[in-house]
Amino acid sequence: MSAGYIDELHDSFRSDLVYRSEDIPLECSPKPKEMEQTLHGVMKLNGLVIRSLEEIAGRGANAVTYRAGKKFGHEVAKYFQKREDVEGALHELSDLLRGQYSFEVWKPEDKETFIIEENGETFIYLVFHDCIVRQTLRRNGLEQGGPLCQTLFGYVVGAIEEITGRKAKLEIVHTGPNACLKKLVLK
Amino acid sequence: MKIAIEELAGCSGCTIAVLDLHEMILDLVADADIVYSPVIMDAKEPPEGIDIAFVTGAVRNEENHERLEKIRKRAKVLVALGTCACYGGISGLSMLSSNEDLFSCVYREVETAKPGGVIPTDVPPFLYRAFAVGDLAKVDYYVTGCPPKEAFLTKIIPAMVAGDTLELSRKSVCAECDRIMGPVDNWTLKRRHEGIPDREHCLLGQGYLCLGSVTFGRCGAACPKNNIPCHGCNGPSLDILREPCRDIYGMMVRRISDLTDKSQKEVEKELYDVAHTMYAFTIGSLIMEDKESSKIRDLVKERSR
Amino acid sequence: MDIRVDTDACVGCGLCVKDCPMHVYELQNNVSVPVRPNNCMGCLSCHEICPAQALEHRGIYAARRHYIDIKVCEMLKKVI
Repeated sequence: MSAGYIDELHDSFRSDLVYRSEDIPLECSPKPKEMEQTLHGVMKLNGLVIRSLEEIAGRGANAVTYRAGKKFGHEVAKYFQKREDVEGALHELSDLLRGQYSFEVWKPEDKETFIIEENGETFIYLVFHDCIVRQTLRRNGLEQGGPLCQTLFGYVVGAIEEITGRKAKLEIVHTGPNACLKKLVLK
Repeated sequence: MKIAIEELAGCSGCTIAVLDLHEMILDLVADADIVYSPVIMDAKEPPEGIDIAFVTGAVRNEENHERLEKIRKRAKVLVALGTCACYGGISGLSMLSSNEDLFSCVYREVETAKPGGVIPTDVPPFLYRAFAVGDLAKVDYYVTGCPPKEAFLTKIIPAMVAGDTLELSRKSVCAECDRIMGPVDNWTLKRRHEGIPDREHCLLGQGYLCLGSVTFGRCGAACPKNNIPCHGCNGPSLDILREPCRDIYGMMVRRISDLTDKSQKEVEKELYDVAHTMYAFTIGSLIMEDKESSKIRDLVKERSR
Repeated sequence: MDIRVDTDACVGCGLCVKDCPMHVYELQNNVSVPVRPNNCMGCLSCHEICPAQALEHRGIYAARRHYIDIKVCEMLKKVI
């Protein structure tokens, strides 16, 4: 490393700024290009954590991420008004999640209602549109439907349990680049 | 209107493709002066005030880099012309050898090198790797193709000179191909010299490694229409370019697997010489290398030792 | 959902038929036909698997794709 380079490096971290704690942050709307570096760093790191977790813990990775998501779901939904109907709970949840995840209840055209009973199972189809998990996975070239998706499964299940008191399970039916179809199985 | 065509690390085929406008070139030079082009005229340096500069070839040595910076400064609009300029192209394959090996091959090992001849010391040194033009300079338009085909250039060059925009198809080679899939039974990978492909049906379905589905169109599927599998000379299709998780190799493996019901692992075992069969035209591109699932980094590391 | 297939581009490989869990497509005379468009939930995995980019969905919600680099995004817009 040449001396010139070190001086330059030092200079780049010096300024004439007057820094007061009451004025922080100095800038509330950073440039998209700066935001992008942070965003991609977070996505990249998350992807690597998940990949490493999978390598070391194998299938146990799913349990870890599911648990993390469930904790999050319980925590957030704790402050919600308790209610019986799952559809209402889903509605509240979708408001809460908007920004990170957006979803809607969905049904194939041959079904009358959103709550579907089939083969002794009661379930609701959910289509997830915006999803930070999907974005992270696609950023990192990881398969959709793996351990990181379990965080969302846990989250939805935890929140539904907290709001309605009903046990539920979320299953993945299909993944795509623009949306994913999930099945919320009610018990 | 002043036009320039700069040559970097390439074969000058893209400049010849411009000349392949044939009689239309007369209309072109009526509207615009070609003020600089080392292949077709004698001007040694690009003048100031160029309106549109076409840059062909990849950036492989210091001279390429200097010339690129110079023409970028002197041109209002810079067009990366051809796959080398857009994605590193064939010049990018040089990354599969170390710089020392390249130098020694060119000056000692080729048949035309005189034994005991003098090794020049004043040639521009290599950069540590190949770059696409867009990796090192701001590019205003990308025109892919090795070289860009005549039918395509006759549409876009006059439009560019006139300052018009036009809507062209942005689909893959398959979209321009006239074959249909046909039955896919007992799929095994065939080398190009094996058998004669059936003209009706998809080459990939027949076992030939045709990159049409992962390759940007604009060539009218010229090779598949002449019974030659696509080798990807237009660079990646836009979905591959866009998605960080999609890569030429990965997507080919997935498609073959979906078509044949063979597992991706089995398909991967049948593939050979991935550097030349999959990445022959994109290996020098940072954008293509940066994809998480890209094999380019590993291939370069493995071969250049 | 309004789904259109570019019949010139479609190679009739049937990958969309295979891929779609809701059986939106059927292969008829070597061309994919969206026979149950209302069963489409807009995941667009068919777009990803289609070798010829022959599919077009109209009136769909486009999910955020912030994961695409600004550099790549800019290049995409400049490819002519």
